[in-house]
Amino acid sequence: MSTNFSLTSRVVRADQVTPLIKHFSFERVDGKPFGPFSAGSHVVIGMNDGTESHKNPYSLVGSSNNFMEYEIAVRLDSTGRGGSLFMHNNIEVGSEIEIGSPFNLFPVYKPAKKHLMIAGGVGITPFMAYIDEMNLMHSNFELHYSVRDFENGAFAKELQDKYPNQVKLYIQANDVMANFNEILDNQPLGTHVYVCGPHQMVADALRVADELGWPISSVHSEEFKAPDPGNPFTVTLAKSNREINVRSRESLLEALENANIEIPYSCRGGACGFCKTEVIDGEINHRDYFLTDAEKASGKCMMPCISRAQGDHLTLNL
Amino acid sequence: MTKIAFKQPLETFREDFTYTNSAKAIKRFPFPYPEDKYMYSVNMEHHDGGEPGSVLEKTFDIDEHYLSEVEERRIVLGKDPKRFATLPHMDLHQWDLLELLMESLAKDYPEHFSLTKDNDNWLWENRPLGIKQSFVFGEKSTLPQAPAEYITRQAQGDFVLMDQRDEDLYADAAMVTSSADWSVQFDLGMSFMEWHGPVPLAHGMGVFERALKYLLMIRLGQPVRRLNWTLTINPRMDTAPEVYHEWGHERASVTPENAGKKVHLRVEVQTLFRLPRSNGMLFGVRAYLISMEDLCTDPAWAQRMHRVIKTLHPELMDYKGITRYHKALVGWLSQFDQ
Repeated sequence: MSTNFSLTSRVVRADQVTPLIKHFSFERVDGKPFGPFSAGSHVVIGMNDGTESHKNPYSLVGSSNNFMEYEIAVRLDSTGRGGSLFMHNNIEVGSEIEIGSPFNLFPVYKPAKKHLMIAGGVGITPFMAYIDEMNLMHSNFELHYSVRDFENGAFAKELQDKYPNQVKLYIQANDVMANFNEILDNQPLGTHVYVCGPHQMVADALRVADELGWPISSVHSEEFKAPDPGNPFTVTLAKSNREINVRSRESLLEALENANIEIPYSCRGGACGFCKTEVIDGEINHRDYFLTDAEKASGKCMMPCISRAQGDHLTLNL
Repeated sequence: MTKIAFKQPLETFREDFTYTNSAKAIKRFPFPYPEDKYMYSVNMEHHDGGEPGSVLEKTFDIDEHYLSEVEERRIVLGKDPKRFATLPHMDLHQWDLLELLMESLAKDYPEHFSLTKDNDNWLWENRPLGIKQSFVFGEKSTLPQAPAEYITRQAQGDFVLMDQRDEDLYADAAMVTSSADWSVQFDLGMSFMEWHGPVPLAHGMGVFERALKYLLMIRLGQPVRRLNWTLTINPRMDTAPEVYHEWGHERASVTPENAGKKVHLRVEVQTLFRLPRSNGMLFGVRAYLISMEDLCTDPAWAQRMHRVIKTLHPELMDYKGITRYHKALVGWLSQFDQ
């Protein structure tokens, strides 16, 4: 039901905030405001490096009350698929990119009595908007932020200066590590914990929360997972009677988009559900978090942003 | 840009029931049946405008009954202030609703409403009601009531604010003074499935699972809508369980002779909006009432109305409270379907 829309936007600021993280601010080319968004929202940034198009999701950073600008922070991933490399090397003040409408898969749990945030590295990004909202709503919050060294802690100084009592920095270079047992133990009833950061950190925090008996409904996490590569395969599109090839490094969704087939999307990481597609034939390698086990077992639908063919062929009802 | 001619003197939705529709209002009535037989469906579509002049054209429709419905809301809240209710975590949702209503009304009806913003210092003008209010957006103390109560006292239709969490939608704040037999105090805080618990048949059809999944994925700036309907005796807006003693017995007053005047079709244009700051959802319920007599001035509507009511599933008939006067109504409607 939902359609993709995007706004052509221009970079108005691009700051290297750490050696690996670049902070971008965008304005709409038509001069209109973007409007408010909720803390935890992401947007998909669309760019074309001349040979390939990239569409990557990024958390919106910064104040949801600054309607004129959207801000994101991008960590350079030199082993990744090229999107962040392109953002770092080629996107500068004046560059134009496409921005999709915000969608929130990591919202603040409004009835919580206390908000406990655990961030690692670039995982700080959604919490910048969280803290803004919590400050506005006079909510009780605490942020535990782990960084490799002070130089690599995006927004670390700004956060510590502004919220000295609520923000705790852990600088790994100084051998100060966050102890999840200490952080998660003895929190008041009604506390919700939010975790965002590298995969291992998120897994560790969730494991400790589980061991300490935190209810699963009080524990929230977000990781943007880029689609892992897999074997190449071919896809038959039953309705349009076409055949396309999916290369090893691209996702099925990207292959469909490159063949000019438009599918609704938002997170491009198997979580939001927008790109759900009907499968007519072929075995599926499900890699998403959205479909129920029963849906996966039925073999009748898949999330093409992240899932692939198990064998060398799929037939889709497209 | 034409001014809407609001009904004067104000119409009543109680006691002497002076509410009526002008010829223009009859013509734009949202007749809800696509077929001669009615059954549930997840009948949602994008709420992105409609035929010029139709009730679907604007984000929030304002019509000739505006002043009368605002007064009816004031009367209901005077008797029972708890028809506006909110849980403590709904502040952001309330500001979202205030902003959405003020911006939409000012944009769609500039001759009647205007909104001027200077950062967070806002000036709201509602000319039909003679209101000029300056306030600070985000500062509750600068408005005479809670933000959602303040703005919905100036709007037609009921409004439910839902908080989205745990892959569900919770009805955590609402202004409901014209409900079709549901109680805001009873339903406050309920999840989507709990709230829809009393609806017959649809649960077995999987309608609500599909509807919830769909609603959770509604995007900012892409609202959706559906129509719902029931029948009401007399043009009564407030058919809440809290005042059942005032209206329940009226179902027994329908006869084959008076059905055309007494029985009213009540159509709800239900809208759903993703709210930007809170990530919540707004559920808007804008009810339109029309007497059978006025409805049947359109021969196609009259014929279809007869067929829909005649063949209505008995469980739906019970749920909508029609059973008691079904025979009398079908008898009256049959004259249009010979």
